[in-house]
Amino acid sequence: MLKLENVALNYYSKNGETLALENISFEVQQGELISIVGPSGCGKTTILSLISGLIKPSKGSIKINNKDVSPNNSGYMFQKDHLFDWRTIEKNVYLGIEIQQQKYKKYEKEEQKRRITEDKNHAIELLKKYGLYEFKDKYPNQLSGGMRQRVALIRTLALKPEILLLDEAFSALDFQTRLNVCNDVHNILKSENKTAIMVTHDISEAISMSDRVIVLTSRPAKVKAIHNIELTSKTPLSRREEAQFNEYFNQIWEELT
Amino acid sequence: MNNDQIKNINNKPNQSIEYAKYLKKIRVNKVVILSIQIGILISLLTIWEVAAIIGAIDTFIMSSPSRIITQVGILISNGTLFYHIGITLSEAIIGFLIATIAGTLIAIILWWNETIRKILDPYIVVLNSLPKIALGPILIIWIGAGTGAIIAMDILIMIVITILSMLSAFTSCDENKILLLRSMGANKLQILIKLILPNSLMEFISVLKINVGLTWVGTIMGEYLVSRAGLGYLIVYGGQVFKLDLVMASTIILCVLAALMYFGVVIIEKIVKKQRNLH
Repeated sequence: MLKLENVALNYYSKNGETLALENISFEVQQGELISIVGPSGCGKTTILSLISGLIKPSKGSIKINNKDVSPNNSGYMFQKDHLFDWRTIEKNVYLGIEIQQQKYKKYEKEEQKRRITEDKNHAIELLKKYGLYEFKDKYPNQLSGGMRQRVALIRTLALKPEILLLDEAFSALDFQTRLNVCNDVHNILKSENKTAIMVTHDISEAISMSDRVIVLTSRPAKVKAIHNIELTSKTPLSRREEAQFNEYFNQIWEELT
Repeated sequence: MNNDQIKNINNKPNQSIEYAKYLKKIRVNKVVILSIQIGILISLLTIWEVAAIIGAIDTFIMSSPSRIITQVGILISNGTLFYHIGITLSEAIIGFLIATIAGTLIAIILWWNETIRKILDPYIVVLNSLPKIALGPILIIWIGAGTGAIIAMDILIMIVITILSMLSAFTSCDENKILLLRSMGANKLQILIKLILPNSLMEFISVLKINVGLTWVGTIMGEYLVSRAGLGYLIVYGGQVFKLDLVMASTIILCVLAALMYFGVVIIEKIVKKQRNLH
């Protein structure tokens, strides 16, 4: 569904012109979870910005279902949850729906209202499904880090994005919480059949969560290798226990150093 | 049943004796501080009054609490007190509102357009370091020696600091939060309304607190320069004719008004914090 073809990106700054990405090509299928790993500063996050349509590539093309990407196709998750302190959990989850209201402008008033209510109900359904509904009237500072990150994911899912972009989404959490949230997020993404691309510096996290891992070179970043992860266990946590896990780890580790 | 247990019955259920003691300690501490504060005020007034009665100080120069009260009584009975308070208070409030609202609007414009921000930057810096009182004569000539000039002086004193504080609050917003909204497809107006403004609310309240103090500086300074009425005028007039009772009485009324206005802002702050579940 997502296709990057010969993507390159030049950066301009006072210090000159830098080639950040060169000749990046890969495809992602519907429902797949892909991780991108690479040396720090190689441009992993830049790839996500390109896929989200926030920046345009200097060369090449990026298509979702054969159409050019735009911010409306994708949903972002960051290292911090960026929940707004002044909104309740429910209102935080509605944020994107409020922002995208204008896409219903073409309809009549009644129809607009109906569609917005429908979207909000969908968000509420997600909160209920993933055990956060009882906290809907709480403020973010009353929730734990792991719960906040789950709310952030639901805020993103509420917009029904075709593809999810996770930028180091778990690295601000302590290790134990992180393993749990990885399980939760993996479970949510798979049960909603969402396509997702995550960027991480943590090789174990990448292997345990993904269907495929893309390894990048240092800047200018190129695709060095793509690994099909064939682990059979259901949850990321149990996948870490499999014998093959370490093989993947060592392989990727070597490619990175 | 010993004493501690009896006490505990009066407290809420599930509350340990230790916790009740802890709460009591906090309450006692509060009362002690308040009584010392009031005590200091009463002793100062008493010493002042006694010194005046026994002739240790010259009441012509120092005045005294009883003379101040008499003076306030005179101002009330001849009906001028509320007239003067009304004038100064309205100048202070009008200046406060205009400077706060206009300053915030200008800060929004500067946040919105980086080019305008860069162009105006040196002007704002210079205007900020300029002692606004120096502009007094210009204001009087341009606007005329009246209420207009006083309010203009008041606004000048507050507006630059308002612009700078609000602009710094707007621009210090986390870039990733902006990126989050943009990734949802938000336009600039939505970023302003959904994120920048609510994110800067606590800074806005700080600005209100600063301005609520500065507005009295501006108003009284303006009244020193041009007025024929108001508390600032009473203070200047009292000084010129050596009526220290009048000077002291006006100053104390000013203190009370400024404190009341400040508490108004504190109440707003409490409401906002409660709404946002902050403590």
